[in-house]
Amino acid sequence: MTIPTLSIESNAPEQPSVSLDEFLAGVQQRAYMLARYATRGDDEALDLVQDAMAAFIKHYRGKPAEQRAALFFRCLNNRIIDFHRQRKRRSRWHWPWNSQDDWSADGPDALVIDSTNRQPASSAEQDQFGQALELALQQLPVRQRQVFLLRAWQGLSVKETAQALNISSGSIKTHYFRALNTLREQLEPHHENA
Amino acid sequence: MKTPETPTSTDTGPDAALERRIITHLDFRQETLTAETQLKLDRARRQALAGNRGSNRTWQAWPWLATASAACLALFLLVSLNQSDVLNPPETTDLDLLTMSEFDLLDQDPDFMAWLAEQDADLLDAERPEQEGSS
Repeated sequence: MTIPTLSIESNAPEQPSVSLDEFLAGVQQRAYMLARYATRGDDEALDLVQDAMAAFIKHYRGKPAEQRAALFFRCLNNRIIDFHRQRKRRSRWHWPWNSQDDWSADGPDALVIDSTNRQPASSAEQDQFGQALELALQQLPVRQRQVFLLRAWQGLSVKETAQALNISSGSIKTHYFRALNTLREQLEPHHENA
Repeated sequence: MKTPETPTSTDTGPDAALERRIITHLDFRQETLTAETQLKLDRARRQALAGNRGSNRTWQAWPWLATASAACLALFLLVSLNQSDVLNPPETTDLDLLTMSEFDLLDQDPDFMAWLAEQDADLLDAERPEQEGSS
């Protein structure tokens, strides 16, 4: 499979030369969390991240540093889409172990965190907000969640996000607007109490 | 890694405050990933850099293994049930006898049924004085 060459104009300032290892070390945690929200499985998420890293190294190792983020998350997104496609295919054949068509409607499957590193000042309201946020993120449609996390959290521009997800800039804005509306509705009770 | 040149919604307003709170929570989640997860990510990165595609793909084999196990179990149960029918034919119970049409005596032998009823009545009469005397 040939991957077309991407030409991305990034809004980010020119960054100093960073090795591939340093770049991947910097994005691996967020990539894992994105994959974890999509797959709800630790091993699946790790595999997707590793596959994305391998594909990125194979095809884009020579690209400029300012294009790396969008290209890497494009590799990750492609694997997330493949994961969903395989899951849909299994559910079409009525696999009893994949009986749910809309797996995103399940309850939260919280990321495994190290509770010993929790900030002692964490309040009950913040915990409730966090739990509500985890549930809301997992219930978002795949595309809206990806757009929101890449734009709001990863800091990609509209154009970079569009390149990463292989959709138009207008679609990026629409998905982001819808995701934010949904999150606002579901988090409003917890957000107002803060 | 959020750059100031890439604003999402307006910098002020309730949506901006909500976005900031969401980002704060996600950053906290990222910082508190377990050490085991961190090690696995580091190993995955090293393997990718080394060109190795090795990974824990056992989760993809679970549906196949479960299906094969279920099929084997079903086959075993089927064979077991068939064997038990051959070696141990079901015994006829009294209930079976009573429900069999050949034993529908009321229709086939009413005289016998009447005699039987008389026997029961005689037994009741024989028991009655003892019961009155024991009160």
